[in-house]
Amino acid sequence: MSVLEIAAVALTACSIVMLAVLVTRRWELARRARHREEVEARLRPAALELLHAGTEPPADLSVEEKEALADLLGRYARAVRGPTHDHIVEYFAREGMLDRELAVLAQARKGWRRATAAFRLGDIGSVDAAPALVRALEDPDRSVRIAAARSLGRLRVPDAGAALVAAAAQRRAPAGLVRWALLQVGPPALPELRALLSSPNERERAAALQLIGLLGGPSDAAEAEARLRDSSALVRTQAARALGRVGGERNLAALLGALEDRIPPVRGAAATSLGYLRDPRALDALTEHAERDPFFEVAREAARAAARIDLPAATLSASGSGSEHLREAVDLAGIR
Amino acid sequence: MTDPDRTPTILVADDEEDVRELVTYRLTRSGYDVIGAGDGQEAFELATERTPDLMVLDVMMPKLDGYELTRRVRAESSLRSIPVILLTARSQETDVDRGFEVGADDYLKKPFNPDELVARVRAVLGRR
Repeated sequence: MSVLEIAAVALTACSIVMLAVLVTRRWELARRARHREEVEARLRPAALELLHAGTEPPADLSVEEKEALADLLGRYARAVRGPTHDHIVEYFAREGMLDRELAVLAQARKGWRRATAAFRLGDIGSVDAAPALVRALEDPDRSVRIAAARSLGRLRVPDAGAALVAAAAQRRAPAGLVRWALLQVGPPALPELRALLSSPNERERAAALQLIGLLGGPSDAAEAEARLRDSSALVRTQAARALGRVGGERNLAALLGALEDRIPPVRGAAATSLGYLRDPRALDALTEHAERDPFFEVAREAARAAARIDLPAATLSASGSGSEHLREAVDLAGIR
Repeated sequence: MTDPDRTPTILVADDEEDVRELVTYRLTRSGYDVIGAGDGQEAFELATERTPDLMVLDVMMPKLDGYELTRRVRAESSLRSIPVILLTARSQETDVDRGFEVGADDYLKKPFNPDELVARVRAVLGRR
């Protein structure tokens, strides 16, 4: 037998062994999943009774059954609120699960264990977990930070607002997830967000402004307008965007000023917001930018805003000018 | 008019099994007959077959979403009068408006309070 033949046989044997291992592993995982489903199906009536009537589940559950019940209740906890949800929180507290998961989050060496604990704490639903979850936003493992941000959103903890925004600004947690979490918290997060407007970190100021634009109201317009003079273009852009939602007639002059900002994204955001304010006094400036702004995005946003404010006037301007953006905006507005 | 001696039948449609179980259990405990569907198409077929007294529909469902299903129910003469409650995670005003535009009778946000759901079901059935 040549060396080549021996190598071929060895490689074939290795492949067969690898295949066998993979098939066995897959089979074993499927078996475990089936078993888990059976256990859950057995426990479901007890879980539903606990939820709706506060009835204590059987005392003689095995460790595996208790884990399955906890997972089941955790999933139910995501779907319900009110007294039904309170029954779940009380059960987890009685069973010591809150303390157990908090200990895992604080002490486990493996990141995935800490992440699982952070995730479960959100489902357990007790606000007592909030301080530990805020600390977990600084965890060296990204999956733990993500799970913590998600759970803080689920718990709707207003005091976590600043820590969440900071995590997003410093790119410790995904900005989209943080926005979701803060939208779950809702207006109670506003005091913390407003305080962040004086942060020395421009990303924090910008993120706070973006969320104030989504959660705030007319009383936030003055502060947003003041931020149009911020040294950071990132902040000025978010201020212009926020004014489209929380602003009004009194912010018109400031937004027209922002339309002349030297940074194109600020001008684009100002144009969009002027379109939302629908004040005809902005029409000339918007038409001018639609026709002459050297930046594509700004010209397009200005044209769309002009069409939104006064479609007949924008149509007239489009017919007399060479602005492709105006013609496109008028066509699009006509379709809608 | 609903026969006062007959147990009302409620069709619950949600692709999330956990939510379906929770709603079904709570409504069953409150004395209703409940039939479940895992997607919009199945819900429409079940509704045509069983003509329930009320439908609790998730908005985001495969095959046929809650809005489209409501629209079809309203367009079908045999189903037109069945009240519909939309149950969904989408809770922006535009979503709520859209639900009413297509003909829904009420709207409940997820996560939902099961007691509130039962109260709404009673209120909507009582209006018939």
